[in-house]
Amino acid sequence: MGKRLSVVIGGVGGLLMAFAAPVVAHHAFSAEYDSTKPITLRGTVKKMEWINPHSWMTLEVKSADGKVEAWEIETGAPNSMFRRGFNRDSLPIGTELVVHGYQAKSGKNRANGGSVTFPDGRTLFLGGSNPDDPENKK
Amino acid sequence: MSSRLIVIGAYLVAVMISVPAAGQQVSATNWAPSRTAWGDPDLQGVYTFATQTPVERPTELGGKAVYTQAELADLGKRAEAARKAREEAPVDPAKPPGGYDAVWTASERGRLTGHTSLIVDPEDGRMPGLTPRAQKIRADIEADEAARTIGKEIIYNTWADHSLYTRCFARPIPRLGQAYNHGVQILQMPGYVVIHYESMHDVRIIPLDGRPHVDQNIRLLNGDSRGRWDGNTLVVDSTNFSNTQRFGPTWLNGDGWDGLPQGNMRYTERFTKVDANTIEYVITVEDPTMYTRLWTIVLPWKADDPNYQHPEDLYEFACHEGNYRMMEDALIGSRALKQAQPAK
Repeated sequence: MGKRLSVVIGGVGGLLMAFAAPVVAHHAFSAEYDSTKPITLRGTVKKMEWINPHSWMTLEVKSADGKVEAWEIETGAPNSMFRRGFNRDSLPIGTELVVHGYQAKSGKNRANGGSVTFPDGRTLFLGGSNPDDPENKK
Repeated sequence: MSSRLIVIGAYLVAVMISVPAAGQQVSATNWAPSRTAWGDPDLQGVYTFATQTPVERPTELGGKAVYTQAELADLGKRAEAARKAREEAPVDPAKPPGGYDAVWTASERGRLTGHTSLIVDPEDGRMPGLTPRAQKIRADIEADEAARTIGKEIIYNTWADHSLYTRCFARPIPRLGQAYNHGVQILQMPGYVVIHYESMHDVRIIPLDGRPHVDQNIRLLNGDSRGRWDGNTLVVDSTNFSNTQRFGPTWLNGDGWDGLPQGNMRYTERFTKVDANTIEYVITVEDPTMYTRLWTIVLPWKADDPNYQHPEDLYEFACHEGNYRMMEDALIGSRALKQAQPAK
């Protein structure tokens, strides 16, 4: 959507287009990240910071030459993640993850967490994965 | 007669034509809310205003204002199937990663209202036209952004180039659709109603004692609200907004601009509890300096969403404290882009 990156929810054609509400990431995505630089990072969780408006996850990523670098990944608002069944025990330090996102324009080792999966491709926190998730109590 | 007077005159005619239509938007209901200990209708509780209904009616729906029950059931089924596909499909590394996947926003989907748009007046379900003054303000805002654009990238030279929302000060009232954190709590005490919005932790304290608005030189990001009871309906009149806050169709048509200065806007909100789990929230927006006529939105606030049942479901939103990386990345990123420019 032009100057801001959006995720379009819904919209499977026909009448459903009626509620293809654009969802804008909170913080001027285009100011922070380079939409021409998608990046895939595979690493282990070093730290999780539960801060608004978006949480941050630090991953230790081993490069091709064996050097380990810390990457900071912007993830969802803590409120949304709590509701989704994510808590401080969900990702123990050392958990291996794959992050698909866009690299920060600042040149720092930062990226947005467009999606976060386990190495076997499972998406985090699918419906049914957490009995405390309100989605599973309906 | 100046063109401005003509515009205001046309606006007043529109107001006179529109008011009865807007007044008819509230659902007829015989449902009677309980009363507080001091006798006011009791609106207290935790609600969400998340919805899947768009603010403006898609043009392909033409004059269709409401869905039939059968259409709603069909849409609901298809939306659920789309949600499952979106949230549970495996991630395809070959596709662009997008902003944030459904994991982060999935618990905020809301429901369809039954109307084809949140805007119910004008009758076409779309925003009214902008006045010449508003068109000029919009053009100036866009020219300012164009002047600090490299390629397709807007340059942020200073923190002040970001909106008040991005800087965690306040979201504009009225609250309509947003990606997440649609929770809201209503509290009442004798003489006051308090509305607490989860996102930004904005709190509106609304006196009911008939006092006048504050002096017009006092400008507030959430405006100055005064309430009264009209039967079982809470009517809130808000003025004294600030031009530093901008409200507008960023999320209506997705074209990326942050909307118009809010200073001259006047909102009339009507809160009516129409059943045990629903407040019908009706808001009429007036600003003859910006819009060629007033416009009205109907957006149910729902109390039966499992995500928002208790006051503690509205989590703390300490936005300022957590926002340092965003501003750092945006400013450093812009400077890196400027430095990468070939010398002229």
